[in-house]
Amino acid sequence: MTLLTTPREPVRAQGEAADVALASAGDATAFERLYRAHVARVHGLARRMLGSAEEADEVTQDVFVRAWTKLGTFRGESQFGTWLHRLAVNVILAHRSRRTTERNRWLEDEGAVDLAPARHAPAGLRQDLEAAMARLPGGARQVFVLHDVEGYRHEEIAERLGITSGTSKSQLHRARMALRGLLER
Amino acid sequence: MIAFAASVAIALQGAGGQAQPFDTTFAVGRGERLEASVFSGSITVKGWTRDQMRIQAAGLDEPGQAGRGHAGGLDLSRGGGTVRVHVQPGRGSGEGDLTIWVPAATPLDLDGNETTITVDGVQGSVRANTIEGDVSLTGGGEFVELASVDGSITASGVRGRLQVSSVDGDVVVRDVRGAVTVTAVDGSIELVDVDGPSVLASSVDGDVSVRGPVRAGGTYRLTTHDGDVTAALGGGPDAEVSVSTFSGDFESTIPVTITQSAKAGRQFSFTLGRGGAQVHLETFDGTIRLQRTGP
Amino acid sequence: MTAHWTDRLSAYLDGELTPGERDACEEHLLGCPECREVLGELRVIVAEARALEDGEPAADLWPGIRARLGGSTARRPDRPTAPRRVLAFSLPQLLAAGLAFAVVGAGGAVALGSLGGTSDGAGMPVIAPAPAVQPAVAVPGGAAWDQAVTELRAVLDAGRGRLDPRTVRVLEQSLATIDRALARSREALASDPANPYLNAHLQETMRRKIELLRHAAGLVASES
Repeated sequence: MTLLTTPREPVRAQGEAADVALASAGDATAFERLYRAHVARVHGLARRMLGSAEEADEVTQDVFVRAWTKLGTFRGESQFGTWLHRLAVNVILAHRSRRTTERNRWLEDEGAVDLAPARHAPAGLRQDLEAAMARLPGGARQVFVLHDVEGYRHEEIAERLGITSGTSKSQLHRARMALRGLLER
Repeated sequence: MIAFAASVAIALQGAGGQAQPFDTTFAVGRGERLEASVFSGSITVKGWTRDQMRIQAAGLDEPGQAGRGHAGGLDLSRGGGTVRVHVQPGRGSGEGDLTIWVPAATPLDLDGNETTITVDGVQGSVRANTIEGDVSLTGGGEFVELASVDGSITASGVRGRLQVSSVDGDVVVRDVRGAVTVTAVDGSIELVDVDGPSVLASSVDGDVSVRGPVRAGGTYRLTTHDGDVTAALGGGPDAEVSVSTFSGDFESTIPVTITQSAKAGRQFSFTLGRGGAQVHLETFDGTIRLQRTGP
Repeated sequence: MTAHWTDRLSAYLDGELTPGERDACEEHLLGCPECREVLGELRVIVAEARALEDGEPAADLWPGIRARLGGSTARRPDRPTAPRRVLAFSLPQLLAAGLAFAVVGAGGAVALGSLGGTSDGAGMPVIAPAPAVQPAVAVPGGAAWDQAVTELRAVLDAGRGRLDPRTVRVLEQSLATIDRALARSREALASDPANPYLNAHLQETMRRKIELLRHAAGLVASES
């Protein structure tokens, strides 16, 4: 057997667990590695939940700053990524609830789906879907992202959003039907 | 400087995509160190006379199980005078058994989580640290540091300073030329033929014993809370001995004349032969035994 | 196509209908091409949603985050290149404990140092002094020790989930062993406060507890 020679890459001696431990002990360099490994996922979640890349930038920063201060409470019972994801959902939801224009979103949702055709014509269905999701009303979008993109169960979504699981189910269906309409145009 | 890295994963796949035992041999320079870690499994290091290092790995993940394209979960790199071999979660399950042959003088730095560590026939410094698992060493020099939280530790043939730490597990140390410090919490400590300027062994719940010649001018301190302390001394022995216990007993097969005593005979001292070495024996609640051994 | 069944298509897709409802829905689907079409499109949407990929943000957000961590560094001193193995001792709690340890350790050193005794010369009966103990140096149960134990204990408790349960059990058992030894030593000392051995022994056992807790806290910091 031969050993191929390639440019050396950094050794991940202890993997992510070590970076988590280092970061929780105050090592910002280790925390930056965690940031690099997870930023796409957190940003993607924020962008889809909020429907805005700019807001996602802001909230993603909030999530990581919050993670830095809360790392001491990470008990290692789950993967760091899972823990961070849940933290991110909390931060994103808190951010949404601060937006006064969104305050009555659940009430406004009735009939609020914007069915105007998308202004641009993205190349593939996934880009279409991303664009269409951004056009969903906030409540339906959150349920859709949490359930269909992120794989949360209705019970959990209901708990996070402070709604009933029946509402979560009907919002999901509304979201899917709305997306179907948006994508058909 | 040679650099090699993640391509190991590719090499591992072999024919038919099956994980094969990993085996590689390469030349190393004088003084090059080895750093190895296995999250779960074993690390075995053997000293040999070649100027080469051979790394063999078994029990690694099947390529299909490994995460993020690093089949087998083995991470091998080299640089800064150190060869690094790591089998850690994140690159797979972190399970595996490493066997590594090194030039005998290679300094070793070995780490495990749920890992048995065995080192045989080396002469350089050794640091071996595991949490769940036994540590066994033959050889080693300069500074040897062995630690396990839950596992036994044995060391023999060390030519240098030896430091052993066990939380729950017995410690056996033989044939050492150098200062020895051993601590255990729940475990016995047995020291045989240890010749160093200081020999310190301390447990909380376990017996502590030393057997062998007493070094002139050496300091011996054997203490435990709940357990027996046995000093089987050879080489005269010439030593000043102090014995302390709260509610334990003292038994001696060597005739002694107590020169100072306090606290109803439970703290006292005496001189064996011409004195010289300092021997301190202490248990809160156990039997302190003094014996003569060897010629 | 009926609104009733259209509204149930998501529930059907997600397997949330009762067996009876599911059978009825399937029967309806057999005879309703519109509903089948909607179902097919919902399936595509759900599958596409699952397959969405995350992308990096357009701008690097790290500098902004890093700047905001600065405000937190009072609690988390930034140690850019510290080696991993010593990280356990960078925690402020551990530093505090280290100070306490030094105090207790110094007391231990006094007791140990006295073992050396002084030899009057060869051939003479030599009196090896009993361990000299200065109880005032490290007061058994002193505030510094208590604080060190409390803080290290908190580190262990907060991070025990990162350790293998067997390891936690071993550590707890060994801590209990030391606590029993401490309790018995204190009890003995209460009945014989001037006993030099008991004073030294208690000090030593207290030091052992700090040592073990530091070890445990180190494991917490370095393990997952």
